[in-house]
Amino acid sequence: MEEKYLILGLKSNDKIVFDYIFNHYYSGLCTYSLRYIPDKAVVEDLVQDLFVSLWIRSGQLTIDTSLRSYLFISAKNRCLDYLKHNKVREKFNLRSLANPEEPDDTNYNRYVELELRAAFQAALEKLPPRCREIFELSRFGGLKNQEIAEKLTISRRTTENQISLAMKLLRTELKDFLPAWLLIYLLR
Amino acid sequence: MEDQEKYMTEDLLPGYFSGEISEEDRHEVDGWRDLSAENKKLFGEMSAIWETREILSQMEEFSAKEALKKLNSRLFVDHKRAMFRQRLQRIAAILLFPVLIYAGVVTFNRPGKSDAVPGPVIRQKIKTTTGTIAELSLPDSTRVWLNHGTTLEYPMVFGKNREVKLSGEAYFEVKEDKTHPFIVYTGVIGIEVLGTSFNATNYPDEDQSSVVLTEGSVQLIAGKAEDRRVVASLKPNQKATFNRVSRKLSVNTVYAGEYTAWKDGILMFADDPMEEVAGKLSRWFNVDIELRTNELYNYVYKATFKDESLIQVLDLLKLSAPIEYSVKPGEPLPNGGYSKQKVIIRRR
Repeated sequence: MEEKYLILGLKSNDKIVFDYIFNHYYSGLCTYSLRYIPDKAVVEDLVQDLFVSLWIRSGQLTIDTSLRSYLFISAKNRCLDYLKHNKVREKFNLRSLANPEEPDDTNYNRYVELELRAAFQAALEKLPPRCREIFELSRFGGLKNQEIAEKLTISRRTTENQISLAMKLLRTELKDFLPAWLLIYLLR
Repeated sequence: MEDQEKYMTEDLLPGYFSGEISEEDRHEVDGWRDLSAENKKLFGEMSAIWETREILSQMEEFSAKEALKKLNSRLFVDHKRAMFRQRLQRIAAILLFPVLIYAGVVTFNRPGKSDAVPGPVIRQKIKTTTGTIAELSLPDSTRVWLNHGTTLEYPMVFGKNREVKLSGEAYFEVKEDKTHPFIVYTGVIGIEVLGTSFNATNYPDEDQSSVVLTEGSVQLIAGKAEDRRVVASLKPNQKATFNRVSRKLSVNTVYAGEYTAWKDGILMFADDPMEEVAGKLSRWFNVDIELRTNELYNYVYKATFKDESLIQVLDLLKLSAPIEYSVKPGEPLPNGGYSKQKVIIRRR
């Protein structure tokens, strides 16, 4: 759906549009929020609160940027607010905001599950079959490299070689989904 | 071996990212990365791909479908527009009369002298769920309003006495008929009238049942049918309360309108203690309410609400008493339905 129709629908409290946006962004907003608060239950609550307020205040909604940026920036603000108010920063500091030098990930595309999955799928189809099989075992089967090697009775080195090859091919196919900080990181 | 020939340091990267790597190999990767800008670029991109993979796995652990189900109940509690819809639903509920009606044949243990048709009597059982108010007429044209979570049992044809059984809360406008007393059984105490209007409360989960008289006169009785004896009489604007635990009956003067407002869709607290407020709110809005401290039992509330949402009511209560509350949305149940929302009230 085109963005302006989404925003329009949202403003007029169209529940179908609301549900569409929710389904499209929910898992990604939660995962993105995990960067700040590594607690699944907390981020789910925060993201749901975000959508409740989106629904209630839809009349006063002003979105200057894209809907996508608006949602992710709102989620981030809610996370930071939560950390401030709940004084749980210490507790979560282990991982969240642990790397202040790493700039914010502003390429939100990678947090849109349906889009990322589709791109991944398309990229995987271009891999040589063996390479793809090994990569999928690692990615979807959740197997360790050593376990894949044992399962396919190949050496671990071969396994890693194939995964590495897959990743090399994927990085060009998925360039739209790579983090925005990558460029900055590389120029340093 | 062929594998060995093709060996490149970047093949160590999957192990490097997954942590399956020896200290020695880790150093090799670190050295290789710093060797050239090209290596550095490859390393960065590979690590980003690895991360993207992780992101995809993480996203799969969140279910938008489940979350939306949960959210929907909140949208329609928090939102004004949704409030309107909820009100409409309530009105519709009253209009459409969605009550459960049971008709059953029971052997009715009738007193010897009866002017009714002999044989078994068909009894009706009308039930309102929480969140529904119903209005109905009995066979003798008596009008009855049933409050939330109420059951009323009555025969299809009245005998010598017009006898009904109440569990919950109801307002009666009894059709005058001096030869056929109208009796409402509410557990231990019965209410006997000839023609009058009154409100009776007898919720099984509360310790007391009560009667408030609007007009006319009522007599409170103990015992059944022919063996009944009068234990008290009420005048308009008097309230009789029978405590099932202490088995004591007390009568005091009240403003009857406060007790009958519910039938017109008004939620009213008349110096009610918190416990009673919680009971009324939970029936009115069909939610579970948990009081987290005993201290609140001493607070009494006086307030009237008509179209306010649960949240609005709670916010107003918050202004007048040292309480705070939180709302837990209903959880999806295995049968596809939802559990009730739960409101937790604490001392502030």
